[in-house]
Amino acid sequence: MARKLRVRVDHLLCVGNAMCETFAPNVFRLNEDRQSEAVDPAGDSEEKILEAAENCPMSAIIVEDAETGEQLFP
Amino acid sequence: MRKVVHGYFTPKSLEEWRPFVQRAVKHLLDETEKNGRMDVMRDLATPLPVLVIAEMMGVPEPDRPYIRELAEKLLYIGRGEHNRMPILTDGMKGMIEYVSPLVDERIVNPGDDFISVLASGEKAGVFTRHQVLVNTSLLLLAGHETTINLLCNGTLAFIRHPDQWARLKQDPAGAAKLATEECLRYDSPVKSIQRIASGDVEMRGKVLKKDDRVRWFISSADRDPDRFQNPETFDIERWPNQHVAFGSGIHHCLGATLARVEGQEVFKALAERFPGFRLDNESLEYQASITFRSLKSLPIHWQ
Repeated sequence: MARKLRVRVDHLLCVGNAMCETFAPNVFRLNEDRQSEAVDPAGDSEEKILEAAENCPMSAIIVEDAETGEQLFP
Repeated sequence: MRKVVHGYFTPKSLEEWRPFVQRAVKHLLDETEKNGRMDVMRDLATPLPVLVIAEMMGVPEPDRPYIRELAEKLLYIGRGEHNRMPILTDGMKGMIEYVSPLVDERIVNPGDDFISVLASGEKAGVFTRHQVLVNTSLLLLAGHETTINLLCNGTLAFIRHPDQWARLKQDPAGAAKLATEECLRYDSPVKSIQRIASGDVEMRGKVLKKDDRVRWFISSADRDPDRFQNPETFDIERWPNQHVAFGSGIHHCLGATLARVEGQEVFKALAERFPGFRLDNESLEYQASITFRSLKSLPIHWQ
C-alpha cells in the first residue's frame, strides 16, 4: 500500500511550464491562470510525483508525507 | 524532446554546477582585479557563460578559445550591423562542423555531458542528427547572449543604485538570490520576443487571431504597475517578484536556472571582493536590437 502524500504548488513561484503535467498527468493540472494545481495527490505513483517535482524549473512543488508531515521535496 | 533535455537543466542537477561556476568567476576576477579596471562585458560577462557551457558540453579544454570565437560570431544574431548575416552563418556552420565529430564520438563513448545527452536522444530515435547539431548550437548561443546581458545590466543597476549595492555588501551570500531576480526584472536581458497565436485569443476587447504574429514586451511587463509595487524602483529584496524575464508557460526559458546560478555567483563575488565601482564613462551605448537589451561594453574601475 503506497503512502499518502500531500502535494502543493507554490503559486508565487509557478510559471505554468507544465513539466509537472508531463510527468504526472493525473496529479497536476493547469488552472485558468495557467498555474499548476495538484488536483489529485493519489493520481499517479510517488515516483512520478517526485519526478514532476524535481523537473519543475521553479522548484514550486512541495511534496510531503501526509501522515508524518515529512517533507520529501524540495 | 523536452523530456530528453529537461533533466539536464533542473534546479537540482544545476546545483552540481555551482562550484564550477564559482571557480570560473574567481579565475576571471583574479585575472582582472590587478588591473584596477575592467570591461565587465569583455572580461567577465562574455567569457563566463562560454566557459560554463563549454564545460557542460564536454568541449575539450584546448578547443575552448575556438568555441569562444564561434560564440562571438553567433552573437551577431542580436546586432544591428547589416553585415551580420554572413558572420552569423559562418559561426553556425563552424559550430555544426565542430560538433559533428564530437557527437559521433559520444554515441560510441557516452559521458555525462550535454552532447552525450543529446546523442543518446539520437540513438533512441527521438532526435535526428540535424536536431542534435542545431540544439547544441542553440545551447551555446542561448546560454550566452542573454546571460551576458543579465550580468552587465545587473552590475550597471548596482552602480546606479549605491544604496542597493550597500545592502548586497552587507550579506552577499544571503542577498544574491533575490537580488538576481530583481536584476532580471529591473533591466531584463531580453526586451521582447515574438509569438504566434495557436488559437484565437480575446484580450481587452480585441481578438488575436490564430497564426497572428505577436511581439510582446518583457521589459514593459516587468515594470507593470498592476503587478509590481513601485515598479521603477530597484529593490533587491523585492518579494514576491513574479517577473517574466524568462517568459512563462511551456516556453519558459530552459536555461533559466543556469542563468540564475551564474547571476547569483557573479553578484555575490563582486560584492565580496570590491568596495564599489565607477563607470569610466557615463554615456553607455546599446546594440540596436528590438530583442536584446545588450550594452556594447561596460568599462568600470574601482579604488
